[in-house]
Amino acid sequence: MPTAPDSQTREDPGGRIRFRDRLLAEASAAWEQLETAPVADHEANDLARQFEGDFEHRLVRRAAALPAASTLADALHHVRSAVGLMIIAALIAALLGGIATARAVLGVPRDEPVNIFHVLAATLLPQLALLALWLIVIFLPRSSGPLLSIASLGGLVVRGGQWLAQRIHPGRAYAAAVAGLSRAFLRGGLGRWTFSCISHALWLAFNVGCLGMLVFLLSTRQYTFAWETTILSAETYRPLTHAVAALPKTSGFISPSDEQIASSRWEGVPLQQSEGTSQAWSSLLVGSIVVYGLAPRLLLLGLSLGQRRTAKSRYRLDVDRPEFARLRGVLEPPAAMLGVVDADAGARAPVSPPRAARASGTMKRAAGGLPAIVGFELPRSTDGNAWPPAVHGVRWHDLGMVDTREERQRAVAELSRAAQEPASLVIVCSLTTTPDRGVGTFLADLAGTVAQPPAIVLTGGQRLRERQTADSPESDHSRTSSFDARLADWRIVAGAAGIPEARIIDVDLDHLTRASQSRLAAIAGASESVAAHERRIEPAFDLIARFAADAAAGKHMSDASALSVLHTEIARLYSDSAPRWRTLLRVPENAAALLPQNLGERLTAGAKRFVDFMPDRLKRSPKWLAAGASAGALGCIAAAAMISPIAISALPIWSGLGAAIAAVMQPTGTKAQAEVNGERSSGGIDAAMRSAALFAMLLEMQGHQERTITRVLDAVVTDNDNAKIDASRARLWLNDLRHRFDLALAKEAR
Amino acid sequence: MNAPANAAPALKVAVVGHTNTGKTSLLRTLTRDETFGEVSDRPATTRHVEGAMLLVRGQPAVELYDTPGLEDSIGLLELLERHRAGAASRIDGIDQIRAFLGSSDATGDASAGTNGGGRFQQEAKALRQVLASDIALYVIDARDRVLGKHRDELEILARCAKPVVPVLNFVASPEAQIALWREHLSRANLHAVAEFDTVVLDDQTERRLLEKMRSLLDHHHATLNALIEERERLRAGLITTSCLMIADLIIDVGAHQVSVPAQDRLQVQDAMESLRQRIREREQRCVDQLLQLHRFSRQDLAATDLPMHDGRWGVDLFSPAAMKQFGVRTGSAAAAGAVAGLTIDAMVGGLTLGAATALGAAIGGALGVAHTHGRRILDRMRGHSELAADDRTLQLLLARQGALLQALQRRGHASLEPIHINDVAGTPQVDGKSSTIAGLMDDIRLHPSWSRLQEFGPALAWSEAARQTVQERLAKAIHASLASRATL
Repeated sequence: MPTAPDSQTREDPGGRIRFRDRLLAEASAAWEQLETAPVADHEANDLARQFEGDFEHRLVRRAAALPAASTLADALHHVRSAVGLMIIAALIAALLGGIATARAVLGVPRDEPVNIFHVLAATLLPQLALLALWLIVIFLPRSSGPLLSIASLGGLVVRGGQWLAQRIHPGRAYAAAVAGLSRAFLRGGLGRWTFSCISHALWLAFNVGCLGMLVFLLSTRQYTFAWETTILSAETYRPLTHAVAALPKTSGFISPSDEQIASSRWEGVPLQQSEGTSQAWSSLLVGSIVVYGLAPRLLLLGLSLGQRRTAKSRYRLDVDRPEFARLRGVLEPPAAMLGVVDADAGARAPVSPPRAARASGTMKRAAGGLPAIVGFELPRSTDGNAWPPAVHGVRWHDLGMVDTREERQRAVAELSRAAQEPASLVIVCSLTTTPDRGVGTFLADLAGTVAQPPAIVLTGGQRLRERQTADSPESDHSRTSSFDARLADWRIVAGAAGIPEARIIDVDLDHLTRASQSRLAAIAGASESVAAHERRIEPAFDLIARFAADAAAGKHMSDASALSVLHTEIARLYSDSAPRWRTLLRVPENAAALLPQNLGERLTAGAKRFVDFMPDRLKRSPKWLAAGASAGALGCIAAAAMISPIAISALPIWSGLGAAIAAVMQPTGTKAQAEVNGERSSGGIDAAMRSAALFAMLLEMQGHQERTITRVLDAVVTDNDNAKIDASRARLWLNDLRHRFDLALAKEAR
Repeated sequence: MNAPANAAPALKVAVVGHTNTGKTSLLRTLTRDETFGEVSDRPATTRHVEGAMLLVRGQPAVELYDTPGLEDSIGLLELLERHRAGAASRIDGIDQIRAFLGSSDATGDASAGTNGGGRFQQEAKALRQVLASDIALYVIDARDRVLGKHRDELEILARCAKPVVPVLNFVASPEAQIALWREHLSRANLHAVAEFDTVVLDDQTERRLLEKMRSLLDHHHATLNALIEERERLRAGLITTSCLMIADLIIDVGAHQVSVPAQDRLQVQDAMESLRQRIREREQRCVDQLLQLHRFSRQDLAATDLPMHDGRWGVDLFSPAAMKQFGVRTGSAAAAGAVAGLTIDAMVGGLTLGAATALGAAIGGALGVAHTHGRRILDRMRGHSELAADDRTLQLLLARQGALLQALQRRGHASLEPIHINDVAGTPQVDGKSSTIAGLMDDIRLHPSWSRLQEFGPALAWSEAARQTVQERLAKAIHASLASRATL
């Protein structure tokens, strides 16, 4: 295919893009679509991004810089050469075809006249018909390209050339080259005008060959021309001849006159034709071919070439197509980095030294003041909880809520001016506040007013958790770690203000439990503090977490004896209140002695007792039902072991446990089904953890009414605890559980 | 990148605010780049001023500067007041700020005389940037109460004599107190308040923010207009291109056919498995392209119990679980011998054969169709059958990719957590059974040459135009279906 000269395009900002560059871009896009693996285009992208120009320019640059660019360029070149070869071959064939046609139509035996109209028809009609078809198709806007690719000779030639190229070179590069070329052709005018060019050129060659041969033959032999008809009359042929001759006459060819036409009718006898007549007819013949065959094709060829050139220069990549549009974000990024403009010098500015104000200059005041409490930047409490927090046995010296500069100064002044030294200073802050330098400064100022380091109560834990859940819904891990990070930040800032870690507690004032109240009281230094029953749920859960970790590390099989050891350890935490929960579980006094004998009965009784505490919802879940049963059964063993140690490993616990669970699950199905269910629901780490967690929670709740226990269990265990719990998520699951446990207890406490 | 000589200078915007309100998150969303700065919950994460440029057609239009958080604004205001009280002559407003910036409290340089020791270095950096910019965006965590320190910050900003647009962040949270904040801000004479939630990207909020900035900056009206239009254009383009990509996937998978000798079980099994594998890979390519288009990396798609993991669909395309997950009903039973996801039977082929023969009269498709079906007839005579993906698979592909597209459109760049695609069992996001889409799918099945999954033949190149038309129509139908289901 002849390469058109590079055309100057004013519409290409940033410099000319040559057609062959665009072609390469198309071929690259096709090639990337064929590749299954992602293409290594980072360097190419970088190169393209640095170039100043519009998106199309960058696409072209990128295509040229891709690793496959040279292969594709070669492939494109070969394909175009193949097509070119095909065109040349077709031209030669057309020429020869013209020659052969002329030879054929004038190949009459001696003395027979040539049927002039047959000759005209043979040489002109096919090409005129196709010309008419072409004229129709060329005016169809969009589909003319693809249609012409099939329906025109030019199209067939090009397709043939491409097919040939692919036969010789199978492979992706050539396939991509062909695809790229096709896309370039089928969009816009380039395709149809190229095919038109070729078609017209072919017919031109045909006509040239035909004409040449005709002239040669007419010059070297003598022909007589005649016309004949069966159904038409002479009157038809005369005007017909004149009509045909009309156009050639204007170009200077002579045409037969009426007498000559009349005399040329063939009537079965050899015709005697005057030279003039023969010459007139031959002139008509030649003229017709020139005017109806050669000239139109020549003109249209010129037209097509011109249009093709325009189309080629107007050709643009369709950047909205997905294969290009997906690169827009990469090549034309919406933003670019400027980098650090004003680098951080290094160490942070220190908080103003805390101890300076609390130097020896502070006069010693008499002790005996009430504990002071101040709230710092607290969010408005939704339930309108009383302020100051109600703690049994503590009367506060309320310094109020502090927020603005004036309020801060007022609080500091009030504390400094107090006649008596406060028993302690409790600063209530919200965990949702970010502890920054401003906070640190205020804490230091406050700390400077009292002799003993103040205490900090961090409230709003639930609110912080809710915020973090909203920010990152599903990931437990990062949520827990960011919660811990916030706590750690508070400890750091408080530490810089001189407040030791021991004086910082995390108590949610919106959800006060009895335990947290007593911690508050302790911090407030109240002389009478509630003899609070000490919380042991944290160490209990620690034991469970360690159990899970050990199981994951393979240190034990989480089988029944390991599980019962765990339950016993948990029970030991609560050993001082053992009589109470033993009564709760209805474990008889002489359990230790009786246990080995009717193990199965005891375990079943224990299991059933525990299950009584469970809410209906949980009883319907086989997993939790099994967990409750095993907690009860193993609880019995634990209780017995506390009275006097028994050789747990000697007992056939597993079968007893299985039977106990099955017995409990029986109402949910047949015995056999219950056994299967029991087995399925009671194996594995998650079952062990569920059982131990239930046990620990029950022990923690001893002293509460049964109904309370049921309610709390209902609130604590949620539906998505059916998720698979493995060792790595054990701690997170337990933390979540404990947190909900606290909330539920707090609700009960109100 | 050199700006052309006669372009307007870029608009400089300083993003300030109390520490940990989401300034860096806002910038990540605006620049569509998740690697900008460092976002975390710890105080004073941003210690320095970091800049980014928003480009319009490759040229810088807006320069954004992320500043260190204002941590001790109460102390700073107190300092400014003290200086004013102690100054020899009365200085106000911006001169105060400048005086402060020159002092040692700001620079940490002891030569200036006061004993501040660089206490307010961080605040000084932020204020210096504000003075060097044309406008300041003051970011507020809408979940916080209106506190004294906020008032002091606004007071300090007011003295900088630059237009200020307050941006309320986290407005989607139930704790957000938008009305209170607006009231308080209007008392400080700030009425053009923008709302943002950097976790959920709503296409209109960014536009409104830019419009509010435009209303305060006469001089840069044209720049901001250009930016707004560019963003709008890109957004629309993203959706269109994504739908085209999904349509491309459907055509490639739907049109693909493999001929197998029906009698040879082993060969049939092999062919099935390799076909499934190719379909899986093709789907993965579509996912990668969608991610690249939206400028997200594979690591962003992670799953716990959810369908996507490390950039791949976690549930196999051909498992019943996948269909259930996306609500694709298992329709009428295929002929005996059908395997999940694929159809294999002469009967199906026979039906299409008949229909296609009738179609064969069309000029445009004539050669292609005759060629294909000529081969098919031969295959039948040789005892082969045809293996292709069935309707359920196509519907599932549509549903999955549609869900992914919606999630990508919804997510803001600043959220630290990966995208999670909600379990939408029951309501497929794209209705694969709508008549338009079903009709197009039938058309696709008639043109096996349109699929790029097979060895590339010359036929594809030349039926490109028809394929492209169908692709565009399918993309429009997908877009319409998605838009009707939820906001895109």
